[in-house]
Amino acid sequence: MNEGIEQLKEALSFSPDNIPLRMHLAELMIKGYMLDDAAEQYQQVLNKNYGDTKARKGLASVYFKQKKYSAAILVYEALMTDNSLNWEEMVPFVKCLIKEQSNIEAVDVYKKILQQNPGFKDDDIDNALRMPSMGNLMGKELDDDEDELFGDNEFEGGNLPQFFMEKPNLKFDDVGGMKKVKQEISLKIIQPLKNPELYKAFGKKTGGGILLYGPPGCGKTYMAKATAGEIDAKFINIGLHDILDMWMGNSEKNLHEVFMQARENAPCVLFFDEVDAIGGSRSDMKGSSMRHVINQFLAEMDGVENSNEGVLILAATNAPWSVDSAFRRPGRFDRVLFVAPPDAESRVEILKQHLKNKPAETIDTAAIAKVTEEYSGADLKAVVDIAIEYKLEESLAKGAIEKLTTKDLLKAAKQHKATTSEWFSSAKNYALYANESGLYDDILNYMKLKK
Amino acid sequence: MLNRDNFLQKAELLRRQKRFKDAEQQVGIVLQDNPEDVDALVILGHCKIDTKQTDEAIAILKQSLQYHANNDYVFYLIGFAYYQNSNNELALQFLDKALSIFPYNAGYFALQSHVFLEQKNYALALVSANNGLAVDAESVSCLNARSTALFRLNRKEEAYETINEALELDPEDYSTHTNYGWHYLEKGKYKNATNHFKEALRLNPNYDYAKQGYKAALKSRMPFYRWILQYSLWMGRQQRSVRIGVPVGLWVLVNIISSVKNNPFLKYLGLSVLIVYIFFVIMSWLGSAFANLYLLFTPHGKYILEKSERYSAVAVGVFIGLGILLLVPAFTINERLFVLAALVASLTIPSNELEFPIKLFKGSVRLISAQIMLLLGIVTCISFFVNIDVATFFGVIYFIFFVGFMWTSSLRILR
Repeated sequence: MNEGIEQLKEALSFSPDNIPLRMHLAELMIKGYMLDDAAEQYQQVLNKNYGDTKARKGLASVYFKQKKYSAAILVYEALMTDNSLNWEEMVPFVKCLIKEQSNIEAVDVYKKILQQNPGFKDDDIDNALRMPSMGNLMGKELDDDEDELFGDNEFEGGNLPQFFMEKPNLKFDDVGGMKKVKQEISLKIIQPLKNPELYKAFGKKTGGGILLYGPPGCGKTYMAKATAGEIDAKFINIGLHDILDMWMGNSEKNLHEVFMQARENAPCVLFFDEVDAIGGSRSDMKGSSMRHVINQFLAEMDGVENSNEGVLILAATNAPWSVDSAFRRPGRFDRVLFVAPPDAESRVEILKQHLKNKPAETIDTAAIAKVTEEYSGADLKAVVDIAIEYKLEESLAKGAIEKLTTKDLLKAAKQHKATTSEWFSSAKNYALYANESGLYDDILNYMKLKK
Repeated sequence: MLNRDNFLQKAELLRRQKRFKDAEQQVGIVLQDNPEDVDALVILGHCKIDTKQTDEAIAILKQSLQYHANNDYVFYLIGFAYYQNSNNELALQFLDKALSIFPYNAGYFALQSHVFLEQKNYALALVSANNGLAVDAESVSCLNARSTALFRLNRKEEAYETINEALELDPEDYSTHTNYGWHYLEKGKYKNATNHFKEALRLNPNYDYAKQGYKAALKSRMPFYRWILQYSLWMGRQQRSVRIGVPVGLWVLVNIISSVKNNPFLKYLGLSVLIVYIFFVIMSWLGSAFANLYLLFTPHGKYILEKSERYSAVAVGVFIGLGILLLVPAFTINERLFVLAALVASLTIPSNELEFPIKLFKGSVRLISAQIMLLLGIVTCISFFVNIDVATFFGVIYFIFFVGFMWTSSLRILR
């Protein structure tokens, strides 16, 4: 093999621009465990042909083999945003993320793998990411012993779908702003759990869920997680693709399993992201089997067969108008809360958070918060990222670290417009013309529209 | 091994839920595996149509025809994309192909009928709608197209029957309500129109055609706007020759009548005709802006106006107000101020044309000339108090611009 490598090297010295040849050489080097050399070859390809997907994939896999996980993650992340990874190539990415303790990101990527190849199974990954639900689901009495829950996986797995479960450490205090939302959640979910007698004394029925709505990227999921953290409960996040999978094939059963898993692990926050995908309003999707899933969902939520005690159901949506109105009846999602983009004070906090540990001068975050009205948390992150990109370029050109300044961030804010505006222009119409029940009054108030 | 059907099913679901990005991603997974997957390409094309990227949609859908040449639905989708691009000729060509492959889809006929309506070919539109209804008697879109065609052909009774049938079949169809609303606007029955538009917007708040209708209906409370709207809707339905003939004929007529001087009766008649005519011309220019100004003071109206409309309305209001105010000193102090008052009032015309926020010297030729006129006008006004010769100089340039502006836009409307 070494001979082959030498020959290729020689050939390349005559035609250094022959990219396929160089790629081939790099592959041979990987096989011969000459990882440093292989990385070097890929770098050269990238120098000549910046953005070459194959070379980037090769480089990432070399980094992975070299255990340079953070470097590998950087390359993989870029590839991921270009949508150029297939599921096999995502596997090392997940492993890198696990090694770097980024479990949340790892779960996201892992879900994508499962999406493309539902039969995929990897024990290492499963052990790291899946929290085993307890034992046999059929009626066995459970104790709330944490050790057992986090203990060794005695569960045989295989025949039961497992939904990703975590135990967030976030608390309400970690979430900036959103006072009203926190208060409502506390009143509806947390206090009944802490003071059950009080609620009983007033004859106030507990249970039911909360539906959070608002523009994308404003922390609905974060809020749900913090709710779980606040009451020290487990958290099951059912995302869009889980929901869609329920729609297809043996959907009702899956839905039942989700609720069962939550019940088994009470106290547990069961969070349905993008719930409108289940509860799409009837006019949007006439007929079809989907009605079935909706009914099943409602039955599970009502706790017809099994009590939902200790299971808190939260849901989020960007399109509350698409959620079937049956979802909003009493005992179901009877609180519908608007999660607005962060206010100026929260924006300052968020900016500070993102600027932490970055080379920066003292930054006038208030000034930036002032020009970023209606920006979502995600938008603010993008603004910081853009500013960092400017500085990276400058630093590379100058060969020394250039610090971030307020000016850079203001410039970035000008470049990145609020992504929420599209949502608001649509929401405004619903609030003005389809708001008979006053459901969207919060939007009217936020947008300072008065009828 | 890739579970292709699963992805495509998901993609189609996501598309229907209007999650176009997610849908495109699912399709992308399939296309990565097999770039010639026809079903995936069709869903992708459909997503592009839904997101108004019609050119991309057409390219993708045409590509899919290379792999499966007899897909009637694809021909229909391409036809639809061309219709959205206002390319009616090509839309009809592709619809013909779709219908020659599969003549049993009422939706294809409905679209064909709508294209004919757009071309003002009302007889053919009626034929298409009837063909569609022969396939599916309950096709709401065919019924809507049919009723529009019948109204245009002046067969009112049948038209009303048809649209009521559509409403009976699906009382929650926003397009039927919108259709009804516009029909009432043509008749000048703005209250009925308002109700139907309101209902349409309740059912689909983001339906732009209904929103435009609602706005027009609210503005129609002002009689002058109502008449102008009815006139322009009527013109819009006419063939080109009528659209050119009517204003030119009107102009010639007014000129002849007002030129009669020797008969006192005819003289007064001519004068009043002239006044009505001038009022009509001014309203056709500024009626919409005046009505917008009125809407600004109504609770519903102010939210329905676009930002630019709001600012134009205010600008027009300010110049008209100033012009009227100037009449007071003109009567009492100096008669020369009449000229100034007229000049200030005439600034409503360019300010109505402006787009907000103002981008100086950017945009179309009309936009830029409107900006130049405003500047000239203001300079003239200021120099009026400083140096009358300078004012005259700028005033003359302004006047030349003004006349040119009016003429070119009249010609533009006729075209």
